[in-house]
Amino acid sequence: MAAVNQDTTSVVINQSNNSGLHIAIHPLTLLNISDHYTRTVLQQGDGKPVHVIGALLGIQAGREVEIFNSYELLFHLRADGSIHINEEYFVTKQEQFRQVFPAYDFLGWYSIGYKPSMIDIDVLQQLMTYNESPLFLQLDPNEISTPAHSLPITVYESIVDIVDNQPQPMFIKAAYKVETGEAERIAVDHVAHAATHQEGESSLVSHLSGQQNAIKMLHTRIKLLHEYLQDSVQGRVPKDRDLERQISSLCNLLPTIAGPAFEEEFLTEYNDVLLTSYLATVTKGTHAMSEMVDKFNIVANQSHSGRPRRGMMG
Amino acid sequence: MDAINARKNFEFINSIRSVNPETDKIFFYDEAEQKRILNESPAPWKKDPHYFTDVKISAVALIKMVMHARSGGSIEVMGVMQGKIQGNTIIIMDAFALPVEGTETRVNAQAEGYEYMVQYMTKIKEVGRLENAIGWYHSHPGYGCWLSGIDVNTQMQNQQFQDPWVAVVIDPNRTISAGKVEIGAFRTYPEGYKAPDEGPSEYQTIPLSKIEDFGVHCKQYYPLEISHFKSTLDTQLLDQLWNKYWVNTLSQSPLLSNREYAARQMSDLAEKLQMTASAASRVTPGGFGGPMGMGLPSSSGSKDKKKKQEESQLSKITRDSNKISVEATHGLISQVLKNVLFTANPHEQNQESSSVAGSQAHGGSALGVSAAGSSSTA
Repeated sequence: MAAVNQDTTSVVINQSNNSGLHIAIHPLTLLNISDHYTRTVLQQGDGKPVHVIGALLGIQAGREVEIFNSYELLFHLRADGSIHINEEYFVTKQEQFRQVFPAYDFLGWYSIGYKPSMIDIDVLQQLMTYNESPLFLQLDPNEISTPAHSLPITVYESIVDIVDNQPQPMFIKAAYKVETGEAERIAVDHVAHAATHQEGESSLVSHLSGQQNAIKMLHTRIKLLHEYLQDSVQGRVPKDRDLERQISSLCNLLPTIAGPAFEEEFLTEYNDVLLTSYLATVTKGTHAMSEMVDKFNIVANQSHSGRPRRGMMG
Repeated sequence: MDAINARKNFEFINSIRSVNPETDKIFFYDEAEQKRILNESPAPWKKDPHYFTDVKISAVALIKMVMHARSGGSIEVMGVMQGKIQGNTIIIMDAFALPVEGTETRVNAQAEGYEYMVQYMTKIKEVGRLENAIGWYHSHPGYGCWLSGIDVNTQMQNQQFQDPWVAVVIDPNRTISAGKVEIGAFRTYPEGYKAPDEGPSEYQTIPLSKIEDFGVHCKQYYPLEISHFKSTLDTQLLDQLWNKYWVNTLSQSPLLSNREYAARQMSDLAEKLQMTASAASRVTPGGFGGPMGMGLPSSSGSKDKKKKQEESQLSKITRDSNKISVEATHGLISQVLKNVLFTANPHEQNQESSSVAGSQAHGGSALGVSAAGSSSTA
């Protein structure tokens, strides 16, 4: 294994990816990796660099890839620093996950680091038995925040390139987006803002602040686009026709939905909710009334305890 | 809450390192210490049935459990949690699903998953997840977080044979509807233990079909306080994630996704109301202007008692209806906000302004109702 070295230039192809693969990653996967890494570091406890590897699970339909979950893989380091994945472990784990999540397939693997190396190519070759072209997700725990708005992860697709007439597996960067199911979003929100959710706080506050945050974010983004357009009009930045076209098509989407059909639906929904709260208020009123009558009866009972009572209003 | 501020704050606290040995200490598993705690004899939780008071759940465990519960739809699913003990606190580090469904109707559900559990645990220990099983979770889709008769039995058996053990219940439907995770953690009392009469526990809505099951067993267990924790790296990832998924907050409509659940809640409420109404009409003639003062003291006493019971039922219904309307109003607020943001057409400003003003006025009144509602539920 003389080829195993830290040479990183040869394993990633720096050209735009045109495979047309749409990759969506669920937050659970990322937190799983983070958890795996954190506990390995702490368990080892000697400050040496640690390496973790795990499998990515999800669903692939055509060109749409969705990564839902992940699990840890067992491996050992060979003397030359290369990694050997324990296949038996991998197969058993895969079996176990099949029993609970039958829809999920093995889609790729994750590890820690900032650039793929020959070691990762080696892992790729070991895993190709189970998936022809596995995805490779690399998380860099030390990249705190280089460009804002980006997660410290990179996703690579594997392709085979011809180098010196030899087929050589290579990595190519792939675009990804983060996808959440509704339950997942609530759970992620819940842990993300756990400190700010105080018991007894009105649910209205948390709901509204969630909405406010989202709108604020929208506002920031729109402002950014606006600034860019202004700058490009004044010639401070070069004009990018493609970008302008995208912005224009975005603006043309407004108003998003208009028309009598939507108006009617919206009003129905609106009135439904109003009716709901009206009914709730009526129930509340009934309750208050009944309570009042009850108290009245008690008082009336006490004050008339000496002589016969002539009825409620007497 | 602002992502940028939060991140700046984060950078400030964690100069460069992504794992902080001090704050992330909770992720370290000290086998010797756990052994010592488990071998303590007699175990403190055997002496005091109230020994455990808190549950701490890690971010991964919570998200895994909620997603699993949701994936089951209207079928109950279950799984096992791994964790450790620290004083009076049970710390849940991770959770995994068991290939068992319909836990609510079958008594031996957990036994079925046992083999899987043992296999899973041996495998995961090889990759550094060292914690032992510390409890089980299952879902109650749509009917709230509490333990049914079967659950109480299962939990009681587990506490007898592999204590420390905790039961966690998640309601995925209510999680979606309320926009926050509905979760409860419970431990049962030993058999024959007379629970001290603590005030009424936190009120929750229970559908009519389940209320008997709830009522019979609700004194056999007690809830534990739940809190959450996450690692430094988690915090960083979560902040960055917000940058990616904020769109979902605006693009999803809770009113639409909850339509079925809301309708079911409504009809349940209507049924309950009808029951109370018919009960009230049987009692009221006596209660109102009737010869109450002239009646014998004993009979009026029993009447009062009956009245009280019925009263508390009405107040329960009031709370339920409040909750429904608060949730619906929240959904509507989002819709109205979106309507103003994306649909209000500037060209029709004149014509629109009146309707927007109207909707704002409505929104205001709706806000008033929901504020009143949530303050009363708090």
